[in-house]
Amino acid sequence: MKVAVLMGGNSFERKFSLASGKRVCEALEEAGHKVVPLDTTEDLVPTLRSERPQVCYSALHGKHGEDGTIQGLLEFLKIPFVGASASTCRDTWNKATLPAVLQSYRAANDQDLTASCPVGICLARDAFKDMGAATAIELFAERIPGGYPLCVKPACGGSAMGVHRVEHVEDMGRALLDAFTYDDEVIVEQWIEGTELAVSILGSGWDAHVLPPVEIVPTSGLFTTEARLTDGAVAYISPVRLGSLAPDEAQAQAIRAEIERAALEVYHAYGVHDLGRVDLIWDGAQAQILEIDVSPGMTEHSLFPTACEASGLSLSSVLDHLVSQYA
Amino acid sequence: MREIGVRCKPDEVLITTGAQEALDLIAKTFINPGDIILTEGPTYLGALQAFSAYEPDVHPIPFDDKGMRMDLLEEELKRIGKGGAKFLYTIPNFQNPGGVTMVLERRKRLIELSHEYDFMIVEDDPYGRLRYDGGHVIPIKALSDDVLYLGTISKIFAPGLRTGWIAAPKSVLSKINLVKQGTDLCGSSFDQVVVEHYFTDTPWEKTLQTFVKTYHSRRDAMLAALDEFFPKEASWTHPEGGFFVWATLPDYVDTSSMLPVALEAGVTYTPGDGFFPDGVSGKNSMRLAFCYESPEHIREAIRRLALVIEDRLELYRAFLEAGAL
Repeated sequence: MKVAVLMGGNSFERKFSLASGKRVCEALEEAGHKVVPLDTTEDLVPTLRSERPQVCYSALHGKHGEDGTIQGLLEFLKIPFVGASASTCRDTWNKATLPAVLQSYRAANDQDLTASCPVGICLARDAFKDMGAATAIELFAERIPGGYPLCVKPACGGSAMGVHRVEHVEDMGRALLDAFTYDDEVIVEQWIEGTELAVSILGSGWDAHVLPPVEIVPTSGLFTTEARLTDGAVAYISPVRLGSLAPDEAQAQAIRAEIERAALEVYHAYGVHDLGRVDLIWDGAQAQILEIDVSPGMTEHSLFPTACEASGLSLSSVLDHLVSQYA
Repeated sequence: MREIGVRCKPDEVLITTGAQEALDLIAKTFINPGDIILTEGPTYLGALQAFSAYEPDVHPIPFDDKGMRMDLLEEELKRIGKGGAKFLYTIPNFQNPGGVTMVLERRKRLIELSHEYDFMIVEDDPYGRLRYDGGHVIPIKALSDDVLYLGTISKIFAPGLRTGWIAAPKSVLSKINLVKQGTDLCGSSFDQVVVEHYFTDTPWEKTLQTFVKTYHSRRDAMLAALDEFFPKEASWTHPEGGFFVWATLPDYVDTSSMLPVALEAGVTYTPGDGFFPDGVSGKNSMRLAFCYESPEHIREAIRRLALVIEDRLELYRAFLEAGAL
């Protein structure tokens, strides 16, 4: 097939996207597809219309890549593409939608969910700039169960940019200001301690299946943007070590199944299809969902390919399967 | 060298692969771990990188519009004592990143202090020929033969030819030469032939004047745009030559944190913290380069940057007024 691979873009995550896109191109070519790599320049639409690819794969990360912009454009051009629809992307891009989406899914299916998410508050930049919200910073500790430490993060964004662990109210101002660098809305929520995991999912609807969860272990400190870019700063272990979940093997297996179920719930709750990755923390009692990523990274160090490898799948075969369904 | 007031013989000059190699050779030759090196604060990032491999203790000395502050330097020298500093590294002309030029009186005072407190002076002069205003200030090397002077053709001919030099006393140069032999045996003769031809057989001074005229107009465009658009809380240097303006915002602003917002607006700058050895000072400053873009683009870039800063300042003010910063 002729596959257009979109990569690069203008978001803060451009360099991640270029690396992902390069690997996607190589994998698709290995599977025998004709690949047209494209960046999101002003020539994108004319090029897509002249090249007439049979399907698009977007390796764009961040703004425009995961927020429904590129998906909406491809829907407008009637070019089939791998991954979630524009409207799904608009929901998944903003992490503030997670509690409501889970709540709706629970109500619609009349069932308790395995998935949970940290309790938090989402506030807009203008509330601070124009309405004096900064005068009420001390309320975060009262409003969010457990108080400090708290997590401050942009509502929209990836690669841990603008994410802070805040230990004291004195540090909250700086953390909020940095988070507002990346988005006009910021979430302040419980800081969850536990085993950090990335659960990749392939497929759609009833055919969606979970790949082995990847355990994320920074060698020191947190899973920051810098750590993601530094060789050896993070260990990715797939499948997750049972000992990281529980001392008893049977109990650990049960917890792993619960984690996978929670990830699948989020995947279905948002209506994601083809592929996605759910980032969560097992806090010892629950799977606390952090976010769902509809355009997971595809570099050698990325979580999705790591999970594919752990389940015996080559990235080439996975991507081949994904694009071929649009033949 | 004679043209700028420095008398030196051929055997007092060592050709290097750019002035950057000269920095590395000097560091390799003279720095032991823990040695105190004095620099302007902020200083050239490439020098900090070259020095850091040899683990010195870098002490930055602030500057003002007349260059490195000699009063603050003297305070520091009194504190660390005679022989406490191995050398002082300075870019006295249109300093990178500050844009400022060390006035003659301070150059003379620097030499006095170097003798009194027994440290070498490393004078890095990549921009000395690119003067737009004011009169020529003679190199520190012209005032004292002991100075190690670094020159380069990068800014007046071609950076890709990687050709610079160290002019220094023979005794010092012989040590550096030994180190250079271990580094790369010798530089590229081919490049040096090309450089020699350019400066011997072509009207290079006329070409240089074209460069000066071009950069002059770009400097003027940047300064005019800063006057027109930047908020009153900002201050900036007024370089008489070179490539850079150093802008400083209120101390609660973090220019590294602000950079992604600027990039989204289509403009970039270099955050100030990278020009200090501690990586923390200079957080509210930025280096603005006017050498590359046209005057029109420079004006538009400063306009956009000013909007980013103003928007950021509004947000910061809200936090400050609430006592949340």
